[in-house]
Amino acid sequence: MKRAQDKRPSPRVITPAMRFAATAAVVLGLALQASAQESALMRALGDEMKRTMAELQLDEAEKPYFVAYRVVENASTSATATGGGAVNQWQGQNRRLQVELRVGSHALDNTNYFSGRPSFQPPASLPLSDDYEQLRRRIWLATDAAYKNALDELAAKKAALQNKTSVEEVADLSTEEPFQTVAPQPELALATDRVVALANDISAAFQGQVHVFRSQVAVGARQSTITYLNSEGSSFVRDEPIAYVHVTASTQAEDGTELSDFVAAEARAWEHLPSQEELVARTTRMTATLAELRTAPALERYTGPVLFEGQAAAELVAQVLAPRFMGLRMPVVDNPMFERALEQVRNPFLDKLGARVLARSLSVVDDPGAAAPDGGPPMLGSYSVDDDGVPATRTSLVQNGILKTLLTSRNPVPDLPKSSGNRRGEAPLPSNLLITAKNGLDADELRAELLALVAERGAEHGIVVRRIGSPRMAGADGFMMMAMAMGQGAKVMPLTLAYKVFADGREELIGKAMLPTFTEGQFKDVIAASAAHTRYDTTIAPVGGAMLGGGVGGGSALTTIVTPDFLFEDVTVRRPPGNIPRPPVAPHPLAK
Amino acid sequence: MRPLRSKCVAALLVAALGAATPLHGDDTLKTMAKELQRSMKVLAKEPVPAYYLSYEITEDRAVSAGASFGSVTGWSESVNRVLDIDLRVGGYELDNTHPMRGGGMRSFTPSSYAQVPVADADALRSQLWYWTDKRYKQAIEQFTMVKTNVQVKVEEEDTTGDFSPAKAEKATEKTVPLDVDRAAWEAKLRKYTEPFTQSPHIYRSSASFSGDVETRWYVNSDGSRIKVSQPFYRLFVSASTKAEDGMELPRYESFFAFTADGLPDDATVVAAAEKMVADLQALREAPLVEPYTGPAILSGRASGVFFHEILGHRLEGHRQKRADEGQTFKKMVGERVLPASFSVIFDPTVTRAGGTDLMGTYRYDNQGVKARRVPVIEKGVLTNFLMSREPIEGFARSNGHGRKNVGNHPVARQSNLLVEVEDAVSEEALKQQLIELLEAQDKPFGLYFDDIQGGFTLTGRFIPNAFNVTPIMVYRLHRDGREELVRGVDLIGTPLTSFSKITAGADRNTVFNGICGAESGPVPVSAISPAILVTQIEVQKKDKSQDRIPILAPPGLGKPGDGPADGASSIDGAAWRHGFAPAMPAREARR
Repeated sequence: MKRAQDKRPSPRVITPAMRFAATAAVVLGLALQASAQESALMRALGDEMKRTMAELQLDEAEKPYFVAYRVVENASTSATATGGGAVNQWQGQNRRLQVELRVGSHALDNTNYFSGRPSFQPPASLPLSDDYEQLRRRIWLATDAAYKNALDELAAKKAALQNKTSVEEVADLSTEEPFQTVAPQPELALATDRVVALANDISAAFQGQVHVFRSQVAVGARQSTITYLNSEGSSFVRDEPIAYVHVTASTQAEDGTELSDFVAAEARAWEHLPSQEELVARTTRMTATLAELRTAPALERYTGPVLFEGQAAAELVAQVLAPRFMGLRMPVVDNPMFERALEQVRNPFLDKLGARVLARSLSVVDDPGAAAPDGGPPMLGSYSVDDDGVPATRTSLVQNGILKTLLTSRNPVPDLPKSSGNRRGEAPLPSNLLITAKNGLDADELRAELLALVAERGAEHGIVVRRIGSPRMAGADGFMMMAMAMGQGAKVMPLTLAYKVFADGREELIGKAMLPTFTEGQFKDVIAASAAHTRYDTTIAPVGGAMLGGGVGGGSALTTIVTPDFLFEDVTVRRPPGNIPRPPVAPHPLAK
Repeated sequence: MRPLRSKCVAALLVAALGAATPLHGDDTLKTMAKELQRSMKVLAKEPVPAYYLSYEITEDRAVSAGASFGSVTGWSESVNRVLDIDLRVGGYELDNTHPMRGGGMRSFTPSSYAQVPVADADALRSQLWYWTDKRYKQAIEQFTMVKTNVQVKVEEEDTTGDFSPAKAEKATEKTVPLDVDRAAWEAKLRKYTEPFTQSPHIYRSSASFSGDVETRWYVNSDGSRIKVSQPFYRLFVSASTKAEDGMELPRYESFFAFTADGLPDDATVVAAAEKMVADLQALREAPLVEPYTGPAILSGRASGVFFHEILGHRLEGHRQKRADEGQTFKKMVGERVLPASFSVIFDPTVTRAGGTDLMGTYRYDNQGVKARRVPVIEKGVLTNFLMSREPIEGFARSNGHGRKNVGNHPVARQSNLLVEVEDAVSEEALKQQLIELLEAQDKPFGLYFDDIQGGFTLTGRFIPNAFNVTPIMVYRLHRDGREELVRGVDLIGTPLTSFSKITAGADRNTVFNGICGAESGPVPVSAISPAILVTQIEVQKKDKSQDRIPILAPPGLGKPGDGPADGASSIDGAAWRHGFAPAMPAREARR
């Protein structure tokens, strides 16, 4: 097992956790830890819910048949730095209530309707203190607003359905067993001055690196507690601590081509983050690679065998495959323009249950309870209960290449009437995505296989890809990708580290390149995969955003991907399209 | 078309975190100047050379907290540093900032926030270099488009240039420390919102406090080197209810000072909150007013906003030049526009009036020009406009009103607006004059606009050139002197007609501190004005929520049906974050 980004294990000397422990006296200790179920908050939610279910009714209108309260309490701190200098810092705390109120019935209710008019209820701000009476007051008003909105939406949805013949009978809310749990996590220290210092210190790695035009180090920590209660008797209190370090750097090649790369690390506890020395070492390696890339020759066009290793294989899974496993419901739409837009982002895997979608050697499991392999830090996508209050379960998505099911929330999709316990934010998102290959090869065998394919074609060289950009760290490339995603363009971020591989084993770095036509269909033709796996932590967001996510933004969730390397027979790689921007007019002020 | 009302969410992401960041200063200006000179030297050799360059770094340190119904709902502390660059190619007569006419790109492409460090000279120089390069490339693209646009369109009416020279200024202030005991303020906010828990009819209440220090470092290629540091402490208390017919009825009180100690004491704020509770109860029961025209008195606060909207925005220099602007006062310089007893002055150098600190105060504008007193109406006669460094016909130089919020390009904006009345009368006498007017006009009642929420105006040509002042507390003033609280109307009108109806002013000034929104972002402004008598105003029905009051009674109170208040759509959102201050003026929606 290897971790993406650091192939060489490096000794941990001082971890950020140690630094934080040393300053425990100054931490913003916020007692957010999951407390007993009968907290004042839970009591206030419960009492107002009872009243709502018993009494809330407007004249002759329907009463609510389902109510869920979700309270998210956040305390966070963050800082950014560039070139060793502090730029911004922020810390704050809030507590928000989201009311999910349904009128109608499980079969047909006010949800799954997209009118285009604003119907989103902004979350209500709750008192930070457990003041029962004031909590009740806010919950009461938020529920009242949600109820009126739900009545409006249901009426509009029924009106829209009057002139349509329903082709698929899918319920609006799945039926699930009530479930209660409390899932505490150790409290995360939120020490702002330490976060600022860590950002500055890592950022200092860029000092004197005049070939890097712009860099940013963002360090932060957030302690979230989610308190959930629904009218069917499900409830949970779940802690979600997260500490992160994100480093981004960009430059231009000598010909002007824009280049960028990143280092990212997230963990549920400070002691699980790589040490500061390790983060600085990764940052330094990244800047060295950027320096090499600035003079690397561009690859005009290539079609042939490509080997995706480590981080590149994991990003390929994150960007191309993972979105296909989301069972996103297509809402009722009363506007042909929106309908066409939705059709564009419809998940093709909704129609492929039982069909072969990957190579026969590959299987995929989503496992929110997966243990960290090799005693590594806990998997980031792990949880015990999802945001619908459904217990987390292991889901076998693909067996021997055949699609068995999709990830679902309580918002069912055709043929999948039950939740798989994957609601994360607004949409069903992967937890830990584990990809396994039968007959995995060791590194030498895989490389030999690549070269054999190259020889078979009589080609001069093959290509191995070691890093791919991430949409979440995208910067300028992100806008490009967003634009392309709207059309029929590339679905994968540009390659940030790729080499030509020659028959004699020699490797030659290639300049910025991309995969213009890569789609999930190519996973059916994986020629070989490695026996070793890469663990990769990232965040994944639903495709289709607000419309399909069911709420504003849809949110994103931390996911750990474990995947082998992949060898494909036929992949097109070429330099990015469009004109190349002009290099800087003046030399860098610190250049010799 | 519904005019956009730009709210007063000051984009001041600011903050104060103990002693986290050193109080540097001199080196920052030096570093900026060094990189500026180097950039100018290199860019001067380009085929399209830069002729002007300025750097402005705005650092905001802020602490804020919010409470509702006696409980704290959130807080934040932050530090934010943003770089703004004004880079010009071409020349004073025609440069890349020239407004484009007729579709396509309208003047500037808004720039992304360039966030920079200040403590580390090398890191800062690297960022200055990076963003200067970006801006230079944008500028030469803009300039090519500008030149084409000038050629293909008809000759412009106002042929003055795009930029004017200004004296190089030098000033260095010490960074003001941000002095906030957040825990103490949270305790105060709880106390301030406690009175609202007493009334079942108040469905929304909040008190928010923010302290921030805005420090600006400014250098330009004229040789200006300026560092200013300005604290702002604000307290905003608001509450609202809903009438049985669904009408939202808000009340608020806002306080501003340059020091935390300058804000009012607890007894004063609690009394204000208690008065708000009583006012809201009275408003729920107040009768509705139908559209009406007749004489009225505008309180000092109302008239301040009235002048800000109908006069102030129309005196902003660049609006006399843009082809799509109404240019109401362009040709009226030297003419009487107000009664001879009225004078109007914009003065950013005054810091206090009537015992209140003034928000529209500053020492240097965002183009490095020293702030100064600018009389615009002298004894009723229009004499001047508010000028940035963009010249207009007959007014070649800036008078220190080139303002903006971070991330925007500066244009002429207001500062502290002062209305002076020579033959002022007492407010009682003003009321008497109104009653006499009622008899003369044979009207049963006049209106008294007491407290107001803010307002907005439209100055474009595309849509009617009107204004709207949104009152909160309006009274019917009957012939027998009786005052009766009413609700449901906005004060509307068109500028020249409204001006011609002003006849008298009172002898006591009131201050309205607020945030003004326009094309260069939200900026702090003040209006200091006495109550005025207007012989004829018009009111229209207020936009009204169609949501009913809450169905269930408040938890723990009574039975369903006798309940108060509404849950309406939004429950207070992120009010705690920062950015409060009454929505003063706002000008928007020009197309």
